Amino acid sequence: MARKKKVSGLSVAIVSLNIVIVGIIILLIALIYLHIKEDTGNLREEVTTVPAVTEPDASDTVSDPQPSDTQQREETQPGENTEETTAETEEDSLISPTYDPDFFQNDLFVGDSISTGLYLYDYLKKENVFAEVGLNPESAATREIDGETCIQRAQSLNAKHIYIMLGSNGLAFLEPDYMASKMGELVDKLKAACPSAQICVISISPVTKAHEAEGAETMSKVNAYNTALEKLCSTNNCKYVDLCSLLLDDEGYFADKYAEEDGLHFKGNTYKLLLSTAQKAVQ
Amino acid sequence: MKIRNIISALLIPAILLTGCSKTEQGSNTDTKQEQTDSAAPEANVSASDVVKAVLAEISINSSVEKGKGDLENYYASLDTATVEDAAFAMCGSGALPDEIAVIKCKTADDAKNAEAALKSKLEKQKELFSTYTPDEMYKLEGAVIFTKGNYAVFIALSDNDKAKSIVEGKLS
Repeated sequence: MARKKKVSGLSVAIVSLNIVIVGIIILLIALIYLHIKEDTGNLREEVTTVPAVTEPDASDTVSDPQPSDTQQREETQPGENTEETTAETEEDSLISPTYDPDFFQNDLFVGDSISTGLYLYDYLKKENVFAEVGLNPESAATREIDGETCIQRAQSLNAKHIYIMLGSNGLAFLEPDYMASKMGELVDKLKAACPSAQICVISISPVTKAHEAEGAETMSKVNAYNTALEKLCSTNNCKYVDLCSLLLDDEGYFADKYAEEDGLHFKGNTYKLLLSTAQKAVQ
Repeated sequence: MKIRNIISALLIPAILLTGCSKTEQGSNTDTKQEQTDSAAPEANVSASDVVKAVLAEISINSSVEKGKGDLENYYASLDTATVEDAAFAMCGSGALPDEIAVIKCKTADDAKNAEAALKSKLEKQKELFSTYTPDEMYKLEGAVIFTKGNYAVFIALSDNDKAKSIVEGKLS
């Protein structure tokens, strides 16, 4: 009888021990689960923070176009700190400019690969942008895109404003004055085809210090060409729009916050500044 | 008896732990099965999913993704009336020739016609970028265009072979 009691006592001890061990295991599993869940939550938070950078401020009086069948994804540049970028963007009035997409519905932008970003990023409809890789002031008048020249496109749109931003491609192998003279010829042709349109020549964008070090395009060439464009506009009844100076950093180069990795093209947000500047120029 | 109790005390937790372990193994098996399933034939895989799967492995700088409604603006000779679903992505800044397009057509014949339109686009891109960014031409020179069932696919990325393998995996 005494032996039976001892056995029963030990069994209770064994069961208790097992309950404690199982309890510890469950506790450990719960802690691991909570830890993983917390990590996932942080990750989601980071992901949702990034698009907020590219959205216009709620206080903006105008909004970006919202394409129905297009998704836009701007990747964070290598080495770019997302938090720093967010703070910088919110504080920078230039990177959150205001413009009205509807304002440009009868307008035409003529440009090179840089201007293709206007429709690639869905800031404007493709019909409002006559742009192609490699286009320069010399080739723009005769080049056909989708079966028509820029002059034909301007006529078919009955363009109210025509913005031309060309020259970055010729900078490496054409003289600034020669390119400016070709720009003058293009302006004359557009004016003849669309006499009621206001023509704006937008300065070409700067290059980054790193891009200049590669040798082909330099800030001195950019400045010489833009000066020639400004002079052209003053004598040719067209409007010169100085975008270049808005994109410079403290050293006089294309600011990294606006420039793509290649030091020549635009980051997605920079198009907002372009459109804002273009709209203000003709209002 | 004491020894038997000690053995019991050690064995029961061990058995319980083995039980947990078996459950976890079972979970792993289920996950593997899901992974296998996701790689298994997907007759109705969305074009966007295929493009996203590729971009997850091979990125495009400043990538923008577009859909069926944008096709006519980018693939001029494509008969968009024959397209059921589409997704394509490219470099938003216009600086690079990187591009991937997955177009699901209504029939396999339509996909063959779409393939011809994609080849036409490739030739145009080669023409534009050959003098513009010669260093990037390898993406276009090694571009892959193919059809698989009702799908027509265009790949001009930094690693075209890997991209093709991912697409084929999703479409097979």
